[in-house]
Formats: sequence, C-alpha cells, structure tokens
Amino acid sequence: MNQMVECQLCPRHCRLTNGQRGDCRARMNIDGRLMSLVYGRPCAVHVDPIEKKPMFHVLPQSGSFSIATAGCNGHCKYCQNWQISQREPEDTINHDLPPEAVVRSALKNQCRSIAYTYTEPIIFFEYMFDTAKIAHQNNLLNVMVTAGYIEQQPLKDLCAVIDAANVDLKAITDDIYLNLTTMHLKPVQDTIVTMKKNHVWVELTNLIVPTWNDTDQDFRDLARWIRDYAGRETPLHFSRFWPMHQLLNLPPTPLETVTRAWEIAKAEGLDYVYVGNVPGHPGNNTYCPNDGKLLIQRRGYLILENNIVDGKCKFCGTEIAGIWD
Amino acid sequence: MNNKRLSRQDFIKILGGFLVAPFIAGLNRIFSSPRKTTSTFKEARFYKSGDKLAG
Repeated sequence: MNQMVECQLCPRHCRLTNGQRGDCRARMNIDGRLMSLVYGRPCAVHVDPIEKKPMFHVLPQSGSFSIATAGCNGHCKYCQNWQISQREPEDTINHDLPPEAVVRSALKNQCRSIAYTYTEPIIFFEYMFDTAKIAHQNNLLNVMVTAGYIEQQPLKDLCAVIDAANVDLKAITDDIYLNLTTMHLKPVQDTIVTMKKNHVWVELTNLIVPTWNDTDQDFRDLARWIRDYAGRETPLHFSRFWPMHQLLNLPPTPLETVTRAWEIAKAEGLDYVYVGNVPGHPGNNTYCPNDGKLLIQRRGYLILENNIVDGKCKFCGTEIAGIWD
Repeated sequence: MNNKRLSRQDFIKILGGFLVAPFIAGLNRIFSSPRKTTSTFKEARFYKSGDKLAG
C-alpha cells in the first residue's frame, strides 16, 4: 500500500512518507492519513487590543481573543515569534483549548473578536475553521493575521468564516520575497485579491527591512499594486523593522525611511496609510481621505480621539471603509 | 511576652496545612497549567493520498 500523502493546503505541496511532517511542522503523515498535530492546542493565548494586530478599521478599541499554535509554513529571517513559529508542537507548552472553549473564553473576557495570529494560522486551518464557525454563532468576529501563503480552495472555504484579515505583503519582487521569507510573491497577491472578492475586510502590512525592501521604487511599486488590485481603500501599515532572529546584523529602519514610505504610498493614491512601531508618528492616526481631518488619534494601542460616527467622517460625512459596529 | 504553649489543636491545624498544601498545589497544576502536546490528533483537510497521487 502506498502511504505517501501530499498536503494541498499551501503552495508548498509537501509530499510526505509515513511519519514525515510538512514544512510547517504541524501536519504529519500518520499511516497514510494527514493529521493536524495542533488541533485544540494553542501555545499562545492572550487578550489583545485589536489595534495590536494591526487592525485599525475594525471595531476600534475592542478586545480580541488571540490564539496561535506552534509551526509556520514561512521562515522569515526577521520573524518576531520564531520561538513558537519555528518549533514543533512538542517543543512548546500547549494549552488544551478546543474550539468551544476558545469561544467561551472570548465571551468571558468581553472580546468582540477572535484573532488567529502570532504564528501562521493557515497551518492550523482545521482548528481555526471550526472555532470561527462557533464564534459566528456567538456574534464574534473572526480576524486572521497571516502571510497569506495558501492554496485557493482552502482559502475560499476560509473566506466564508473570516471577517477580517491583516495580510503581510512582505516585498514586491519575487526574488526578495523568496530570499527573505522562503515564500513566493504571487500566491500572496492571489490571496489578497481572493479575500477582497469574497468580502473579507483586508488590511496589509509591509515590514520595511533595511537593504532588503526599502527603496523608493519598492514603496511605489507596492502602493501601485495595492491601489490597482486591492483597491485604494485598503489600509497599508508600514512597520519599522527591529533587529530580530537571523537579521541581528541590520540596524532598525531609519525613521526617515518609514516617513518616506508613508508619503510615497499616500502620493500614489492610497486612502489609509499607517506607520507602525514608531510611537507618536502622525502615521499612527487615521485621516479622512476627503477633507484630511484627523479621525482617529492613537497613542500606542490607545485611542485618544475618535471622530468616526456611524462609519462616516464626523466633519464631512465621507464614508470610512471598515467594520465599525 | 506570651509564653503560652502551642495547643494540641493548633499543632494539628499547622501539620494539616503542611500535608494538604502540596496536594492542592498538585491538583492546581494538573487542572490549570499548560501541558505538552498529547497524542490525540485531528485528520487534516486538503490532502491527497496513496493512489490519487500522480508521479
């Protein structure tokens, strides 16, 4: 009997003999069946402000019950959570938290959403999917923070239960993408387009890594692709790099570079461009794309002022894209 | 200064506390602390196996 299996969840299509695990470390061929090793066993469980994801256009200042399991199908050189993402599930301390318990805990903690985050939720697809269904029955939103490296069929199934996603668009050229993350660019772009078509609220994050993806051309090409394929109303978060994991040799992103990226993306026509990891930067705030007035003033994860009423600018009535209630 | 000797009842209370405390701590550990992954796994979706594989 041929006990080989081929995982078709992500573009890697890992072919596994009996006893072998996928590249993500979370899925394994056991006697000819592909098994998830992490179902109901998150290694990280926290209540976070939704702004931390970052998710700026979804239920501001609400709590998001956030979970992750060990493993990841990406291997980014700068990963901030490599202690859990680049580990096998046996090497992390895991909670016993089946989907019903996740939802119960979220409600108990007065959260309005469940976030599948920290590592790569795609690799715990079954756990996320089952939890998300129960969450919807209990009026909770489902938020996914992902690198978007997934095949189209599982993604379409997921779109039925996911309300909002922050997708990392890590670079805009394939060779940089591959070298920096071991993933290809095109499947990620396809994910963003499919999510938008299926009415998932999408925000994008681009971590600016010095010498890798920090030229004006990079920022321009990134913003143009987003404008043309995802839509100008898609928020883009430029995030400042901090030396981490395998890129300890690089300096933090200079503040001028982050500000330049912010200005270029706005000039290319994106309505909502943000700056992350730089407290006090004007790019932390939301401005009306029509009259330019300050709508949401943020300090860290706190909101100091909110001038969005019923999803519209309080001053000129322009509709502000997002999920506000 | 009070030189009153420890009564038999107090002594039993203190001794009882010493005996019961580790038991409660153990129970607490079993029921509330995170555990290492056990061996119950869930079948994954989206895969092909055996004869359905080309090549």
